[in-house]
Amino acid sequence: MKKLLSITLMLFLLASCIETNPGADINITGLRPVYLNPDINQIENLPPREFEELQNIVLYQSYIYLVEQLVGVHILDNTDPSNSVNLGFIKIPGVTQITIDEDVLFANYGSDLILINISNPLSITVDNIVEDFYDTQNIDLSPQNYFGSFECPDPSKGFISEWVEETLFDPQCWR
Amino acid sequence: MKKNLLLLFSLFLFSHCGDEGLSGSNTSGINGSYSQMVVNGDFLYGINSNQLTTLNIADKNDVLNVDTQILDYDIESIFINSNTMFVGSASRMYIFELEEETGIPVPLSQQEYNFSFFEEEVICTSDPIVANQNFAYVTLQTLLQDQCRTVNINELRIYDISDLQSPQLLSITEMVRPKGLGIVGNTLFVCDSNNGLKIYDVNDPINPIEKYHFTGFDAYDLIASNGLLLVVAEDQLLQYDFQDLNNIYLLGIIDL
Repeated sequence: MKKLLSITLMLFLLASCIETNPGADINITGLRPVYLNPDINQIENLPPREFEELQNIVLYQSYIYLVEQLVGVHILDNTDPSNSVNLGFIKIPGVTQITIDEDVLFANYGSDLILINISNPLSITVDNIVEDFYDTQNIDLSPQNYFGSFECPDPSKGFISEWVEETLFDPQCWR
Repeated sequence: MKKNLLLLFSLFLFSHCGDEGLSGSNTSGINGSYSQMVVNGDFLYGINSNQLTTLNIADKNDVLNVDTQILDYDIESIFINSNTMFVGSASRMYIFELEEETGIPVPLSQQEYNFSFFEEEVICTSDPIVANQNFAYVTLQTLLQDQCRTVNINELRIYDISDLQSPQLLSITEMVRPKGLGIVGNTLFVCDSNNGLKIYDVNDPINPIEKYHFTGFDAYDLIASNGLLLVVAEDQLLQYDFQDLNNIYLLGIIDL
């Protein structure tokens, strides 16, 4: 705990280019962390859904797997590229990254890596979990590429899957 | 007749072996250039903030952590071509050789992008890399910022990597807001955000020639393989046929 405190303090000192808290005792626009508490039972097949914020893409045999940022993975049958069929969706909260090998889809899930069997993509199973694939202990949890006020991250509340802009009152962290 | 058919069939098979522009095979998927997780043989490589982790995934029920290395912050992408791995971070391109037995990445070189205009904060949101035997292609979309000014860098860079330990910058092409990219033979495909998709002839890497510019969408990343180009736009997926480089055309748009 002491170590964590001193790391936090160090990061705090490093991050505080601006000397005084710009959000002290006032309402200010800033970022709030969204926490994710992974539960393997949340991973499931769902019917096809709309594209909203597409990111990572993987072409696997005649299928296309498309990450819907932080929500899950679209499955498309691309046997005929001029007429792709939207087959379904795999719900994976917080997902940003996938890759596929031998009918296994690897996806980030909180700080873990999960292995999903997609031999039948419309009836998936979670086959294995590699715990703590992503290090959350020794990294700067502050929002990246951002200057301004934000709610201080608290790893005990869960894995930070994203930051959302909001009006914050008296945020204690800034950069 | 039968013999002819057989010949045709074997030609067909043969023609499908030559095209290995991307790090994919029948058993593993082909990733877009923004991958932070890539499979190569028995190994999976993953990046997270400043870590590069190697897993042995030969037995999917018993995945082993083989190696972890600490790199720069803001690592954005991994690309593997045969046994050479390229890792793009905000400020540099790392090149590793993958040890055949253990799969462990051995550092060969680090190429700094050298934005030395002033003492700056570098804010970088995208620097994917793709490569073939001789050249590496990098898009940089970087914001340099200090207290009183900001500088935007949006460019496509081509490096000579014939000596992996000492990459040489060959050319810089200005872009609007470049993102994912792909190389097949001497054809380079580059996403340029709301400026659409650009396709270059890079036979002369010092002077890339723009062949196509498709617009009307916000191109983020792509996969180019076997004459098929998949382009991820914000809420669309576009597909192009590029089997004939003189006639690249849109196959369809999936817009859900």
